[in-house]
Amino acid sequence: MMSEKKRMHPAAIVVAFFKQLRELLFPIIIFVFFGSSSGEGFFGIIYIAVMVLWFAGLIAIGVISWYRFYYWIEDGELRMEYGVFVKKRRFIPQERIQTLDTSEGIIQRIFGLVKVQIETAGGGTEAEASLTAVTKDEASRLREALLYYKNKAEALGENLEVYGPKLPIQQEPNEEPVEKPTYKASWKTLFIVGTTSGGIGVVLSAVIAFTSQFDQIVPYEDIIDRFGMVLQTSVYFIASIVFVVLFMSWLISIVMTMFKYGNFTVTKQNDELQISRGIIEKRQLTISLKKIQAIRISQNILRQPFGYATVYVESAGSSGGKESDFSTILFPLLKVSEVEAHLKEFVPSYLLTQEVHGLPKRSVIRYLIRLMVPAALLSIPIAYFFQPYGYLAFLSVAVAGLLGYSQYKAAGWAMENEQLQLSYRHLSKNTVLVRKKRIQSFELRESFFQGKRKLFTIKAAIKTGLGGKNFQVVDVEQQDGEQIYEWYSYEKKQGDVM
Amino acid sequence: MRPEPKQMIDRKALSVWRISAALNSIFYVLLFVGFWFIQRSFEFPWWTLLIAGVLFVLIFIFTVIIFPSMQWKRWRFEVHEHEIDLQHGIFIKKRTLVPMVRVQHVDTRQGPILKKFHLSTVLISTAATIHEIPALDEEQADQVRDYISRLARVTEDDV
Repeated sequence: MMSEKKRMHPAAIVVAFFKQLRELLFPIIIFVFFGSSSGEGFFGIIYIAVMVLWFAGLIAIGVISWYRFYYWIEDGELRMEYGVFVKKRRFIPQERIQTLDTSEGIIQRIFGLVKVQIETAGGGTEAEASLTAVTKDEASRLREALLYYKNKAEALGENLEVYGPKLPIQQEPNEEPVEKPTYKASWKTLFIVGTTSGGIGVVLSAVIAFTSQFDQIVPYEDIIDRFGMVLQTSVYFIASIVFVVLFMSWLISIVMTMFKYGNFTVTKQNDELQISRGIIEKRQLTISLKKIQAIRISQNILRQPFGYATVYVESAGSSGGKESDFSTILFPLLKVSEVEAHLKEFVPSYLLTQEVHGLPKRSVIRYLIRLMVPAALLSIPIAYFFQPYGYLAFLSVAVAGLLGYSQYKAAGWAMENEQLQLSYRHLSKNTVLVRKKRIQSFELRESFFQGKRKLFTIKAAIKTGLGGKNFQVVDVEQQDGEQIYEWYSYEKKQGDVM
Repeated sequence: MRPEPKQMIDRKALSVWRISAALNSIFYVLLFVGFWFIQRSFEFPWWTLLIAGVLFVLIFIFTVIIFPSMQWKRWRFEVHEHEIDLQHGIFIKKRTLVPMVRVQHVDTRQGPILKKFHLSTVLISTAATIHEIPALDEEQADQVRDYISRLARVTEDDV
C-alpha cells in the first residue's frame, strides 16, 4: 500500500492555471477590449500593472495550491489534504468509490500524464476527487489499490498474487481475452454527426461576437464606404458574404465535432460500459450498468429524414463527459433500424419496441392549438406594423401547425413488463426507455380542458447526476394513463393505513 | 383506476393559506397606490383607475377567498404500505405516486404562520423529486413522517 503522502506532478499547476484562465475568459476579454481604448498615459500603466498582478496572482495561487495538495492511501481510504489558507481534508472510503475515470487533456498529453477522477454515488456535477496530473503508472497503481478492494470484496478468496505489480490502464486484471462487445464510430459517421449536429448556431454566434470585437482594429466603416457603390448595386454581394460566413461556420462546427468525438469507442466489460472519445483531448469514462437510469434515443430534425438517431445514457452520479441536457452520448449516430440490436448488445436490460401506442385522434387539435395560437398572436402585430412584408409572419402559423402535427405523430408510449417507453417531441423526437424501479415518482396530470376531453398528461421523474429530470407525454388517452398508473403502483391491494 | 385518496389536510390550512395570500396582496395594494399616483400626475382618465381598482378587488377575492378553498377541497393524500398517493392542483389536477422504495428521507417543516396554527408540512424526498403534504396537524405530521420513514426503511434498494 502506498501510504506515504504524495504531491501531484507539477504539471498540475499548468492545468489549474489554464482552467482558471478559461473560467475567467469572459471577464478578461471584456477587460482587454474596454481597457485597450485607454491604453495610454497614467491609466495605461495602471491597466498593465493590474493585468500583470492578476496573472502573477493566478500563477502564485496555482503553485501554492499544488504545493499544499497531498494525497495518499491509508486504512482503505483515499485521503487528500489541501487548501491554501485553511487546511482541508477529505477521506473517501474505498467501498464508496464507484468509478475511477482517467482522461487526457492537451496539457496532460504534452507531459505524458493523465487526469484521474474518482466518483462516489453522490450527486453533483463535480467528481468527488480529481487528481489533475499524475503519471500513468501512478494512475494504474491508484486504480489497483482502490478498485482491487472492490474486486476482492466481490470475488471472495481471490488470490492477491494473481494481480501483477503494475497494470496498464483500463485493463482488468486476470481477464482472459474474451470477445467484448465493442462499438467504434467510423469517420464517415462522425462526419454525418458534424454536418447534422446543429452546432452551426453556436459557432455562428461566436463568429459574430468575434468580428464585432474587431471593429476597433479592422476599419469596417472605411471598407464599407469604399465599397458603398458596389454594395448599393449588389444585394447578391451581401447575400454571398452571408452565405460564405454560414458555410464557414458549418465547416468549423463539423471539424469541432470531429475533434471532440474522434476515435469514439464504446466497450462493454462485465457490467461496465467504457466510453472513450476525442482526438486532442482524450476523454474516458466508465458507466456501471447498474447506474443507468434511462436510455434516450434522440432524433433531431436534420437526422430524422435520413433515419439516424443519437443514443444517450441518463446516469446517476457520473461527471465529466456530460453533453447536452447532462446526458452522456452512448452512440453518436446509428440507423434507427440498428438501435435495437445495439441496445441488446450493450444494455441488454433495455428493450426498444416498435409497438407504440399513439395518442387518440381528439388530441391532435390540442397539439395544433398549443403552437398555432401563440404564433398567430405574435404574427398579428408584426403584420399590422410592418406592412406589406409583415404578412409573411403568418407563415410562422403554418410552420407551427406542421410542428404541432408532427409532435402529435411522434408522441406515444409502450410498456414491457418492467419498462416504460415514452416518446415525445419538442423539436427533436425523443424516445425514452426507463425501468420501473428507476422511476422515482409518477404523476398523472389533468387540466380542466383535458378533463373535458378525457385526456391525461403522464410524467415520470428519474434521478440524474444533477438531481432529477422529468419525461412527459401530453394528451394521452385517459384509459392509457390509468393503465400506466396502475402498472407503476406498488400497491396491489387496497391497503388502508392510519 | 383506484378512487381518489381519502385523507384530507387540516381544515385550518384554509386560514393559513388565506393569511399568506392576504400578505401577498399587500404587493398588489402597493401597485394600485402606485398607479393612483401615476393617474393623478399624468392625468389619465378616471376610468383607468376604476379598472385598476376592480382588477385589484378581483385578484383579492380570487387569491384570498376562492383559490384556497378550491385547493383545500382538491387536496387528498393517502399513505399506503408500499407507496404514497397524492392529489392536488386547482386548474391542473395532479395525481402523484411515490413508492416507499424510492423515498430517501422525510422532513417536517413549519413556518411562522403554520406554527401559530399548530400545523406542519411534511416533505417527502426521493432521489429526484420533493413532494409535500401541506398543513397537517403537528402531531399528525410527526406521525406521518415517522410512519413513512419506517416503511421506507423496510425496503432498501440502491438508486
